[in-house]
Amino acid sequence: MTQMGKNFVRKLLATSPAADLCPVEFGGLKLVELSFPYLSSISPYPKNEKKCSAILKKNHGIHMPNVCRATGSSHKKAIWFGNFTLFIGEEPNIALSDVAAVVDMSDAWCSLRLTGTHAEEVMQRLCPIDVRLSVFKTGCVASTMLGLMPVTLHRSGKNQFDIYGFRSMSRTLVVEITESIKKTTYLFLQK
Amino acid sequence: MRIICPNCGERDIREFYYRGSENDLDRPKLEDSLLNWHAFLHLRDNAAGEIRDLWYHEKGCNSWLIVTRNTITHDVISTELVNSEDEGLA
Repeated sequence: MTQMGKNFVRKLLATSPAADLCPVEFGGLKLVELSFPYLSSISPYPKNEKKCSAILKKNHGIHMPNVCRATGSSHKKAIWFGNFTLFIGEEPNIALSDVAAVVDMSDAWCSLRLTGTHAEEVMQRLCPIDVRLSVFKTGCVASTMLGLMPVTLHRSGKNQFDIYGFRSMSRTLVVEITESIKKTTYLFLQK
Repeated sequence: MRIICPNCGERDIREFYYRGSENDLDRPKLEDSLLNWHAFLHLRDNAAGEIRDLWYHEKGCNSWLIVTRNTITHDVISTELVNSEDEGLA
């Protein structure tokens, strides 16, 4: 987006990946975009995993997450992303680069949050994994598919899912979830 | 067929990409004999029974796995990460 001066562009304004797509609200289900100041990938070099976790703890107060888990709070967190860890919320300390490859990914991911009583049913329509609370508990993370797109899912609450997809596919991501919200709501209205 | 990914748990076969025999990991050196290179590129045991293959979890955690399975009974016997010398943290 641009802010125009009289004869020139005054300022280029950053827009978030789902700026004109969210929020979506339908039948008690809500899809909103999460915006964070920083997203970085951290990939520890071989044999440096524990050192990396200690440095992250010292400088940012959180440990590196275990496989299929996340650490931290809603504003500052580290999420397992398969072959790297996504560190969200703060600029990573320079000390991390001694033990890990650190890459700024602030513009690369579209982060969405789905909330509502039937959020689980919405995700069941889209993902090929078991997302029931008994298996996919609060705090669990999975790297999986949403429709045909690779995503990372984080169950951040009993009826709440955080969904991380590629920015380039953000429109499809929102459309897929919105369709599923509508179909799920319709199903429960029928009952 | 289902494969138990060491990271993600039990997942459907369609989430994985199949590469082939695990001897792809033992690549000969450039100066090795032509005979070794020929064996590496073309010769496979193709055993009826237990084999060890490379699979890639492309619709999951993006890890390379070594899957031991039996081609007669179709049992998946074990799965391990190729780079299992990591300290266990992602």
